[in-house]
Amino acid sequence: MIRTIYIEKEIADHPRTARILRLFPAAARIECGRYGEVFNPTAQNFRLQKRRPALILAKKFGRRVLETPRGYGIGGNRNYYFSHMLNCIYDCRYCFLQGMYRSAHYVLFVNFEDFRSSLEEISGADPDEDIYFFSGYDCDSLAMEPMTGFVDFFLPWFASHPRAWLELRTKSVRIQSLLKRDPIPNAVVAFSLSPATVAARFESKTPTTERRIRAIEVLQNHGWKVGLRFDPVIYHHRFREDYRQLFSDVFSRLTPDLIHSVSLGSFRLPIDGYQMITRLFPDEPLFAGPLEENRGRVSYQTPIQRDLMSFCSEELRRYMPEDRLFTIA
Amino acid sequence: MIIPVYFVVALMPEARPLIRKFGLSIDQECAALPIYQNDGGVRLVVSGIGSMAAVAATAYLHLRQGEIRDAVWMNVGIAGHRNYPIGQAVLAHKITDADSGKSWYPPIVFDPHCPTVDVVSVRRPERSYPTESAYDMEAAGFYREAARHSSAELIHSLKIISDTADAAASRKTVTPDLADRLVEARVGLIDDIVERLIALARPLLRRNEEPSVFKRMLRQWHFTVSQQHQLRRLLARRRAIKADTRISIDSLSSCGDSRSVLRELGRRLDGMPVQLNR
Repeated sequence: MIRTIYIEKEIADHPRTARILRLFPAAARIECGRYGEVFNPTAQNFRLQKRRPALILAKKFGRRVLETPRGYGIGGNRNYYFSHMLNCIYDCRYCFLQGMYRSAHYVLFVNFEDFRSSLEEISGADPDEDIYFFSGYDCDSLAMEPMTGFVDFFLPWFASHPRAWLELRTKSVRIQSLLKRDPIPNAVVAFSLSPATVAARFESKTPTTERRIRAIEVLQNHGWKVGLRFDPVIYHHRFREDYRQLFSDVFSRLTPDLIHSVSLGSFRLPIDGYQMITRLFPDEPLFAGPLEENRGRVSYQTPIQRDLMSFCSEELRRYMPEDRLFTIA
Repeated sequence: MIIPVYFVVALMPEARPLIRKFGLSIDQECAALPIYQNDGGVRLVVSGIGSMAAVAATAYLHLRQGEIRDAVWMNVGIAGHRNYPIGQAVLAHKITDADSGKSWYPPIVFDPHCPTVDVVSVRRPERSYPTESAYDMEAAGFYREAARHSSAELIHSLKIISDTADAAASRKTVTPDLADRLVEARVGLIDDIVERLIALARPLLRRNEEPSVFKRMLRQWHFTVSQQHQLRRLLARRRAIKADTRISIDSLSSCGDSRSVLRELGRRLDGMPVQLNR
């Protein structure tokens, strides 16, 4: 439930703004200059704001589509990401957004047309090469779809640009907008999955793992390419049993040949983000575990990391061929 | 744990109902500005009129109280509004300094049980009410300064409408007695908001608490400043993993110096499996 909406003056008359405002007639409407005035001040507390996040309707300036970090990809050589939103309705304790932003408000950039121009520009430079565009890096791609209309706007563009691939990264089961249209071959609906025990403990407000698997089944049956993202893998005293069970559940119900890609990444945070998050959640065991700083980020100590990843990789290789299995370094 | 609650109020007639409500008495040691206090952590400073006075009073109160971070801060006072009836309480969701044009956006993460509005802080009393905002003279100065000392969710400005376009047109003035009565009628709401803010502030202040074992360890071994930071982090990690048990200093008696204490604590923590059932 959105009770407060901040509206950048410049996009106050944008048709998408008007449509979204109609969805929340009782919300307080507050005009602001640039969204950063509300979102960026340092003396804010993400954890407190998560109790009642507001919505900020804004215009995205500058570079709207960015290259992904090295090592991030699902088989393509050219990988980009773009974020029509910042922040998410879910409350995953491991999420790096808590350490990246001071504010838990949802920022929605309403100038989708400008994002589309940026996609056009990048894909137009190399029309004969496959280019991967990842959505859902700074938000969940589908969780707020009824409000944003993101899928409805962007999928037709991808449908007409077959060398431009779209990954929709999500934990949401709001798949109606996908089911009501024909699948397109260059879109991958990628679900983040964790063992039920991990999801229950660390993925607050998300659909259960079981509901996510069911949504994947439905999408597969409808002809959509799906991706599985076991990221972040969380180390805990029963990790072998829990991840083995998860993989077994997932692959016994899905059709492996119709799975576009599977990726695996262990829990990690940038050092600054880790420090910020531990200040927000000083009593959280997840951040007190056997971690170390390495190459600008905090992750599990090397022997544990190796054990965790090699176990999960080996288990996954029982179900998926190597060429569709990707490890996030 | 006592959560500090700081009120910044422009004039005595606005302050009196709060002084009565919270049982405050004057702090005789404060000479520059009148500060009222009770044993429950509530402090109130009477700032005088205007944004600069509010800045100074907010800073003064912060310094006088030992520069505690993440206290609850509230500015309470009267304001004018074009439409709201006299006596209506409103909470600021945007505060603008009319002189500079700069705005602040207090995040309201609780149900305030009153309307929320834009508040514009002006240098001289507003009579024409050109927008739907409430007009006052202190909120911007108060907020600008308080935001340096606490988290934005804990800083709020509550205004009680004392003047409207109609009243201004008929040149009715706000008497001290009226200001007192207007605030008095809203002390229940103010108390309610304060309680909600205290609940929000509690986990923030708790994280600043030093575990008692920390001081005892400093007495037993010599830690450099850098090692003290490491020790704090290790103790915080330990509390997160094993909240149910206390650390025994005796179990570290074989450690000859601070470095070996840190190493031993780290070693023990790394060996503790992460349990999901906490």
